[in-house]
Amino acid sequence: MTDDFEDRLRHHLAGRAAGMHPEPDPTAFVERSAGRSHRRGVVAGGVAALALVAGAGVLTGVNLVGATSATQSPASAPSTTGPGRAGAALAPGASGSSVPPSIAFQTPYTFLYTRVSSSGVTIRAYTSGSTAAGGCAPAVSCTPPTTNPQNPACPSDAMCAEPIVVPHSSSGTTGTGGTSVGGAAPPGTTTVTPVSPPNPASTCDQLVIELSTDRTIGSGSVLQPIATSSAPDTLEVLGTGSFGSAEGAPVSWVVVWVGSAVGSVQLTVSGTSVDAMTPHDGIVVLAAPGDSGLAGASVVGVDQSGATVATVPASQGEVPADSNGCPTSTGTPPSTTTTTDPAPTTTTTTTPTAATTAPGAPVPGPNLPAPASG
Amino acid sequence: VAWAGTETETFGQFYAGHFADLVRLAALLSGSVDAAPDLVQDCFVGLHAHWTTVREPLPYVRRSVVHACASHHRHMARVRRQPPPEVRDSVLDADELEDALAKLPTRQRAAVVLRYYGDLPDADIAGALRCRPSTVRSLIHRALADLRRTIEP
Repeated sequence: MTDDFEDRLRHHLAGRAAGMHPEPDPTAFVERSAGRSHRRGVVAGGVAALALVAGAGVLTGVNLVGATSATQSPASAPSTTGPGRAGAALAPGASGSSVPPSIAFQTPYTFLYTRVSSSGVTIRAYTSGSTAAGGCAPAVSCTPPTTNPQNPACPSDAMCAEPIVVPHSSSGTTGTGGTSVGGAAPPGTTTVTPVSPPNPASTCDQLVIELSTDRTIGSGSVLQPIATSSAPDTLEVLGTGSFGSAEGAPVSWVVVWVGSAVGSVQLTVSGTSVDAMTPHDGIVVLAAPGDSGLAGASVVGVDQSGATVATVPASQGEVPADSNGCPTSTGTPPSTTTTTDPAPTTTTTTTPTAATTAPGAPVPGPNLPAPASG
Repeated sequence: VAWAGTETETFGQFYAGHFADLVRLAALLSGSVDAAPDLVQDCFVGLHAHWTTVREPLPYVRRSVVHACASHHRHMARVRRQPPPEVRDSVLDADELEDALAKLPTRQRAAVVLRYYGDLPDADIAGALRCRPSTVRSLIHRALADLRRTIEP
């Protein structure tokens, strides 16, 4: 039973709360946690694994690295993102270990652009610096955590995961050449994107895209090219994906990297242009609704005069996956032009400081030692 | 207020998903906008240390926030007794109702905030305050009576 006074009280408190806009501060959390560990005399360090979870608009990019124990079984862990994902094994009660998880935080997104496709799909693109150490290894999650030849910086007792994107809703979609999530299927039914082999023209930085229609939302990520392409006529599919099947409103997307000579990029299905975009920093994200996916679709790059520069199939980046969702091919994805730049080696630090991080550069994710329990 | 949690949340997801709500709760409980984030961060640090063993993290951290705010009240009371009062805490903008809330005993204020801001049932409030549900009802009843007396004499 309520009366006017209780309603007034409720309204007053809600108004006070609405006036505050606190943001999660992972750095402060890490510092406090490290300080507490220091007070307890716990030796800092020992874990260098880092993982990355994109906040997908909701989260600010907080992730856990499954470095609690070598005895922890990733296969038995509940997951909303896919098998073997970092942090998935660290849900409450998922492990009998009393050692809390180490933690890594993702760097904030850098907004690139937003646009609405011809079919009404709102597309937002971001870049996200990776905190992964030891170079870029997109398929790390397909490697047993105790044997990680692709990432020498990953300790043998840690599970180093690839950068992934947290779903807006606990559901899944499919994608290639990157990760893609979205839709509204029940938890546990997430389809993990087969991850393409490392692109030699990529760094650990990610291009994160968020797409939405009036019926469904989805997001995905692909590896970001390390620099502008060396050839003006470059037209390379970085990744594709789809979402919204569960809602009955499927949408497919493709991320394309183009050279300076390409003035516009079109996505054509059965000879009909369904979306087009002027490149933004060499990056194009195209989307097309429909349940046919991108089968038979092509990406066409045209120059300023309208002449076709290059045409590639939209399914160019697709990689056959095995039963575990891991890529079966280790070759370089086909492309019209390939630029080979060595991926820079990032250094993992346990405590981020302004002095060690250049402005605008990917910030190494702080990776806490496991605080003592109790 | 999104209080619901899921069993499949990672700590990072839980932290990101509940930090803001808990800071608001802490600000209402403590009356201090400045102190609330630090109080909640400490609570999350404590939760992190027990993450793998805590079965229901949200009630756990909520209880931690309530206790942290009570400790903050005690600390500020000590500070105010010590001259000179250089510490100037940024409090919520004062008004009649806020002033009346601030004058409530800590547990009464906590019960009121958890009920009328958090929309929590008596059982959950009792869990946060470590008391019986009947005690919660009593606390809220007395708090409302005090507030009415102050605001509607």
